Amino acid sequence: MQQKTERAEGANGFVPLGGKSEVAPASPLPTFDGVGGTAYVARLRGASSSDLMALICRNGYPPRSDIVNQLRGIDNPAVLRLLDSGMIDFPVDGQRYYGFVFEQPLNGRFWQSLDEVHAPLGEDFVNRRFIAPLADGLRQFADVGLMHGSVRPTNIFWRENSSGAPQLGECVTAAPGIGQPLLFESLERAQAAPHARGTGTILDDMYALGVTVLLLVLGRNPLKGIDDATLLRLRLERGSFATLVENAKLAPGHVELLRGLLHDDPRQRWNAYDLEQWCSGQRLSPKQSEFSKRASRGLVFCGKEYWQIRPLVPVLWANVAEAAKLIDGGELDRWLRRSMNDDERADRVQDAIDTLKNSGRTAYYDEQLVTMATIALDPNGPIGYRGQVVMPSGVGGGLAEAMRTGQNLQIMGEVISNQFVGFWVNQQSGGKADLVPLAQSFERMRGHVERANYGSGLERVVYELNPTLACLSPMLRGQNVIAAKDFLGALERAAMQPNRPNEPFDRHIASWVITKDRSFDYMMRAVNSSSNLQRILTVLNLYDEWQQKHGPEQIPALTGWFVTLLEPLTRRYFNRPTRDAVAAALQQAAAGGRLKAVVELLDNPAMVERDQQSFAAARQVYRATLQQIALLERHKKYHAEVAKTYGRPTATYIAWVLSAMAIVFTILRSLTAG
Amino acid sequence: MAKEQAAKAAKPGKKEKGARKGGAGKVLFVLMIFLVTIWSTACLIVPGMMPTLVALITDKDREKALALTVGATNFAGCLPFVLQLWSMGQNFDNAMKLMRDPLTWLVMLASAGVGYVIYIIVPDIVATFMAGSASGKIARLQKNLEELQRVWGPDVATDKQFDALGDIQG
Repeated sequence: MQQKTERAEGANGFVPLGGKSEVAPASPLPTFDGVGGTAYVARLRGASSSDLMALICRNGYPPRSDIVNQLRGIDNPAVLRLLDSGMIDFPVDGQRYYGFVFEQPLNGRFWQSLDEVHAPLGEDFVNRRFIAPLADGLRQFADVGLMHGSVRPTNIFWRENSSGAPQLGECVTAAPGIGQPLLFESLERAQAAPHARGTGTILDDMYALGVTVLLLVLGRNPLKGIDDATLLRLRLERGSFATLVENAKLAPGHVELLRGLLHDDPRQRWNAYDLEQWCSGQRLSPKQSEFSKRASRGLVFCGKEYWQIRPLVPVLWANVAEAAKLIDGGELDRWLRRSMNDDERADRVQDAIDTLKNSGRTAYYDEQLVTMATIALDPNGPIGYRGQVVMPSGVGGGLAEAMRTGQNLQIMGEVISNQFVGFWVNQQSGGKADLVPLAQSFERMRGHVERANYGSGLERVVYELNPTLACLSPMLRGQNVIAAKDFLGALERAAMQPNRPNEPFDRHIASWVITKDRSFDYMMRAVNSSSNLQRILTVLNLYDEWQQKHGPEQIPALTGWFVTLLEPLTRRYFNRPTRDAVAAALQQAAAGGRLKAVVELLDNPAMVERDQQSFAAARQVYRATLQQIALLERHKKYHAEVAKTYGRPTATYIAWVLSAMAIVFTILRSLTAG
Repeated sequence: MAKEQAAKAAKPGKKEKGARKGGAGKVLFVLMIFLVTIWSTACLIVPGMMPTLVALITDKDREKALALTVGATNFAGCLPFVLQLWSMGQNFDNAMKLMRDPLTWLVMLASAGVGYVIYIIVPDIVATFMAGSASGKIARLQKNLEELQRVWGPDVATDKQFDALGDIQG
């Protein structure tokens, strides 16, 4: 390891990252650490000044490497500029990580923590110097269809007395939602677990910006000291705007702004373009949301009275048995129709109940009933099932986290196999067309979950739903294999380990590989339908094609591993000299590090067929020889019979020849005498 | 007699046997005519070929190898005296003159004896020779088998079926 570290780290202390940057692992920049990564001094290769910073994703979260190209297209003073990204051989712990290289922020963090107290800033100053540049930056995110996901005072680099614009910090070292305090999440996402909040939209950024602005103008966090559960309950009961702003003294313009940004109905919330219009002086007014509707009579559930739908939903999730009785017994339906005067919602809930009943009673029926009924009650909200709360787009993130940390995967599997996401999409009233791909995707995922073979199962689902998730195969632990070109190199390093597993293939690798390159789908069928040796031979063929497509040129340890595993396959050659020659050639191939050479030796149909034909001919010769020997043995064994069969005719023949000679001699003598 | 023979031949199941007997009778008849014609030669050759006649009767072998062997040498032994008779003139006196000579009997019977000796010795010699030859051939063929096993392995001697990976099927 020490040697490797010395090799990886150049003489000047910099280690290459991506295509054009290098990082100084010995020079951390803790001020700029991100949620999923730690910051280090970086520079462009060959440059003399080290004015860049690298964020190395060492916290195990899947990096947002899939948005790198879009992010590099954003050139805005309010957004940290991303310059490079890629894998790095990190010498500190000898592992490989994904990293991002940014320009260093011009200032330090605006707030170090959310509990700080600052002097309130003036309305005009905030509007001009803070909101306008950030609105412009977020508008560019909206233009490329991205969500930042980490808008909060502690991820903004700014000094109020600095001439430069505030800069939004990194948003790439972890999925949106991870590391974002609940205070800054929109109400739907706030209910979901941090890893299961999904990708979100720019509207969620708008909400976070609204909370950020509120903290800025107040100079403090108005909900400081309140725990997340209480905060969520207050927001669900009173609405986010009312909870956060409450009695705060704000300028009328800011009240209008925050009403627009903190609206709990995403369809009514201001988007980036609305905010730009507001910044340019145009005034907008948000509509009243139907979610703030109160019932004429409260619904008593678990000893408490509920007047609105949103506060009721989490309580239904938490009390499944009672909730199932409430729903099945028709009490919820009566409350919706009579007290909420909302026949449409009541019909949706009834349809959900009918759909579930028609599909038959299964295990966890009550849980499924509550989940589907709550989706119908609050279609904007997340999906709650058996104690897990996930946004539909966050199912993949939740599954990845469960898999990464070794938690129970069954619940997420049931979320997929019960098609809750498809049901959720069907319940959406507007913008449904945009969600059709999501529903179709989960329909496919259901198919994967129901199959248990290589390249299917929850392993396949987790990579399908998290394209940037590193392969979670135990043998690739610590190598963070995200890109196809890094895969065989990582396996080569795994092959060098003394405690390597039995074979260089497992369910995670199968699923990861098929997700990265679907052209290998036909091979995966062969992997699933054959014997152990055939499976390894198919894997060898797969890796051979992978090596030709993605490199690297030489992988001697992995090739040697395959040679060891497939050595018994030399027995498919019956000819012993051929077998010995192939075995010797395999050893040479292993040293060469090219899988193609092994494939040509062990999976050469023409050579195998020739050998089999020759073997069949040799068998015929062997059988014929045995017959000959049996005949000769018979000659030896049965003397009298041989004498009779062959000897007597021979005796007759000899007698006739001798007699003929005597007769001729007699006649000739008689003639000459006469 | 002819009527009786014809009646016997006409009986069902004995038709073939009768035909054979009829054929042999014809041959015997022709032979008797011939011997009557050359009766002085017959007086010499019939007694001289007596060992062959005995061999023909006693040989149970289907191919009649003994009769053929003894007959050939016996005839070769009789032929010189037949030719001598013919040169002296074919008449009963000359035939008797030759018959009264013990050398004639010695040569004719000794020639038959040579046939018997050949018939007794040669089959054993042939069998012994063939056995010796077979041992050499077997040794050579065994080496071939060993070579086949060395090159193709022990399964070359079996009927086992193998799949594409070299595993035994079934």
